[in-house]
Amino acid sequence: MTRVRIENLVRSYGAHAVLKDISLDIADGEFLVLLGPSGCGKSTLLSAIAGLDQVQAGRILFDDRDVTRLEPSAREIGMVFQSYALYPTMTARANMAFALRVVGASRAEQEERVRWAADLLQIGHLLDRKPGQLSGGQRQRVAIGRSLVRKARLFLFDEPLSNLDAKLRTEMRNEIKALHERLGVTFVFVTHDQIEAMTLATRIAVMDAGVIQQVDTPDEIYRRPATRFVADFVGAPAMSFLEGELVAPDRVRIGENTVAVPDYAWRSAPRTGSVVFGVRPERVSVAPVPGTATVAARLRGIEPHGADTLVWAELSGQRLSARLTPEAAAGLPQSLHLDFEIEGVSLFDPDSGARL
Amino acid sequence: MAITPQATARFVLVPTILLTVVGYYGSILWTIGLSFTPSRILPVSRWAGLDMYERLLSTERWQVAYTNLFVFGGLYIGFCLAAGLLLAIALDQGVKGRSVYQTIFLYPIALSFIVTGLAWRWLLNPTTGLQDYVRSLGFESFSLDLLSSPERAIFTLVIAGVWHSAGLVMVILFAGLQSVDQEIWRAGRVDGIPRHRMYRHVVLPMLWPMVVTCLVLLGMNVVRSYDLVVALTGGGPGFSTDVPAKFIVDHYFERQSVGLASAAATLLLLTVVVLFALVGLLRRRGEAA
Amino acid sequence: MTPAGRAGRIGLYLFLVTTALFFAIPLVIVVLTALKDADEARGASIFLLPRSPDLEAFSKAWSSACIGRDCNGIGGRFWNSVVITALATSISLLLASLNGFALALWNLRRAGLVLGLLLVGAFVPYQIMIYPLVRMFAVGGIHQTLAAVVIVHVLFGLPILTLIFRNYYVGLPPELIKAARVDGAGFFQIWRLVILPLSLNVAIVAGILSVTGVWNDYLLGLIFSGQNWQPMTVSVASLSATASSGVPEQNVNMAATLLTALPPLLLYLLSGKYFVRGVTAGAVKG
Ligand SMILES: Nc1ncnc2c1ncn2[C@@H]1O[C@H](COP(=O)(O)OP(=O)(O)OP(=O)(O)O)[C@@H](O)[C@H]1O
Ligand SMILES: [Mg+2]
Repeated sequence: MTRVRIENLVRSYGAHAVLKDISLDIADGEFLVLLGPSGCGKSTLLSAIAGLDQVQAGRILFDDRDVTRLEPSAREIGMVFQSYALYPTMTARANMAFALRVVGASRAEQEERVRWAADLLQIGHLLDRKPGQLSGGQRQRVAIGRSLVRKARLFLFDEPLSNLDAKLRTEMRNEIKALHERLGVTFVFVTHDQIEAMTLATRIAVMDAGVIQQVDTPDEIYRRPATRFVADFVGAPAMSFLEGELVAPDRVRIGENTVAVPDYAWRSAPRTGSVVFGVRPERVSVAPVPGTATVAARLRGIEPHGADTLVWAELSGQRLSARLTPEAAAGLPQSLHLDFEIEGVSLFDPDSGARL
Repeated sequence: MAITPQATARFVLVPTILLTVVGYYGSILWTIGLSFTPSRILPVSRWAGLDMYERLLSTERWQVAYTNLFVFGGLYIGFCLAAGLLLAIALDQGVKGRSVYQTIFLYPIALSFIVTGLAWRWLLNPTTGLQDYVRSLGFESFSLDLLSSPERAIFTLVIAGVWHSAGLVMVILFAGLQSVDQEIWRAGRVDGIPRHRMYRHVVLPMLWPMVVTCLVLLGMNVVRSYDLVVALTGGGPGFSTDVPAKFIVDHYFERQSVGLASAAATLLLLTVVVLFALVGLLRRRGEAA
Repeated sequence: MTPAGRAGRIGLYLFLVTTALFFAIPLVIVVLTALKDADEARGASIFLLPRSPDLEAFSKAWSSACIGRDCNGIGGRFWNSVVITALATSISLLLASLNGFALALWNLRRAGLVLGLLLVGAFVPYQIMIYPLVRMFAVGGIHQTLAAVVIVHVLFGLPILTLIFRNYYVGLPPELIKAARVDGAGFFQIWRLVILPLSLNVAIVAGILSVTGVWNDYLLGLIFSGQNWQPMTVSVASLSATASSGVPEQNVNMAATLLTALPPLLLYLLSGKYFVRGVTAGAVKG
């Protein structure tokens, strides 16, 4: 049971800053997902929490106790790696018992804890095999089992599912979620897969280039992205961005068109001037006839995805996409009348990228 | 506070670092220092400037030894590379019994230079050896009396050396040939390029890094060539087959001229440094190509 | 096959067989001579087969041939070589594995510098270091002892062996170490329980390199071992010198030579691929 508090963490390799003044609070029992593109510093942050990597500045607290200088083994954590990192010369049982063995626990205790973890993960029949004799999914289970054997109060996962095939990944995802519910301890989970993040997290921390952009529930992240980066990174197909100008508190002009944003939830009092108008493709629809709220656009291309169809359109020289049902996308004319739902619209400051 | 594993890792390296700093660098500096003193049987610390170097350079035995380093080195490395390359290419033609040939070509590398020298001295002895055998075949005037000829004894070192080390070159280059992508050979066949031209223009340039590797290994043998000389010619006749390594050891431990030997050792070190700089250039050229 | 192709094939095999003969003959001659008696070895061509082959020369070389004034054969020196090789190899492998592990997997600052320092030493000719080492051992009171000869072998063997281990360990996934640290294992526990079980192959390669290197060494044995611990290569070299001064007994010389050559030769024949990897590992730059 652990609350984790990260204060002003800095880590750089030479002149290259990988973590830039990171602060983050993780509540007890939370399932926090660190989401971000490759190379943004997720693993580095996780390593810092684990104590595998020294930081240059900042503090890490577990339940108000400063652990910044503590060895990983003294932090009472369990950790699962992308490559599983099972000890290749040991059986699954020896792998799982290793942590207890090095602290000199009795055979009986080792056996009991390994049994418990093996039952939880249903890997009792695999215990006498070596990692080389296990499939990817089985290795993953053993690796999780190994992290469970020590009584950890915080579990760290570094992209544990990315080496599995799609079907197995879904299965393991559900298991990890069930495990979290069953153990009730804090999980920190790194991924660059937004589906994983959305389905697992109680909260998501979106990172980019060593900075945390937003920490929020999956729903908030999706519906009210705090920065243009978050809006772009989360959601597939991606949000469309159009350059425009706020001409009145409820009207954005995009080229020769004007879009009404009557009920937009402003973060601060609206100021006229240039804005970036973002809209989720699933919140764009095609109206049969021009209406008061529609804007005129030209059809540019159609991409069938099976369940739905992505329609590319051009609006005053800027491209945007709409996600339609295959029926709605069939037989569209060259000139379209697009309708935006306000729930799918986000406005950003063009300079800072911050949500307006 | 507990000792971190990193601290232990650092600590583990300490004995080795001490051993290296004292054993290598301390010794090297000490030797360089001695080369500026007139030490004879025991080290003295009187400054003698470049006296020892002057004496060394005007010593005929050193001149011969230093020249031999390049004569022996050049021939030994050249023949080893040529023989090794030929053998590697021959074995690359899908010959039957390849591993038997390979075993035979490579076994001398397992033997010491002492054993090599002793075996070849016996083989080349004039009364019952190779010369006697060829004469008994009817070539009465055949003369292979290399060991007692001051001009030609150096070639016995080359022969024995090549016999010892050509297999090593063969095995390294053969591994290189085997690792050449089969697609490249197929592409050559499609383009109608003859095999020997493929070797010359396509495959050999790909082997360049391995050739440099061989150069380094053989070069080390040349610089250290002490045992072979001792066992095969003893440096003779006279000192015609002397090499720097032997010159240095003799002057340290038999002729009690520590200062002179140190000057010779320092010059040998300088030579090695220059040669390594050259190899570095070759390596870079290989990467650029 | 075309006639030209056939001629080429024949030429190829001719070349290979001739070269194989060139390589095989010295060993064959040594074996033949060792099987002869002294008169036959002295008088008849080395290419003639022995009339009545026996192992007389071997037993003489082993137990009663003279090295200087000591006429007890090279048997004792054989055991000297065994002890020196075993000690030097086990100590260097141990150190090299620990060093390689520390250098490869702990992100130590200046690990590259330490490796560089070590490797420069490997390429410097021994001649420039031996005299000061002799003086240091003399001051330490261990000149020409077993300790001295083992220490120099370890000293000169370490760079390449460390490099071999280090290059192997660098290829291991760093997560292995991270996982073990989270599990609470310390440096030596990780080394013993996780790394050593993975090191068997690389230890065989390094071990072969070290055993052949130490066994075949002449210079270091000559200078640092002294009379009591003189290794076989040194004795066999001076054995020939003695025999040629009196009545030359080439059969005994060649038997002694063969006995000296036998251990690395057997190692070579038995270990095959590992041997090749061992002798070529020296040139792999880090
Ligand atoms: N040992 C190191 N030396 C120098 N730079 C490093 C080192 N380790 C990581 N980096 C750099 O730090 C940055 C962040 O790396 P990190 O492994 O944390 O990324 P990540 O977000 O986990 O990416 P991925 O999703 O690909 O795993 C990268 O730009 C990487 O190049
Ligand atoms: Mg990562």
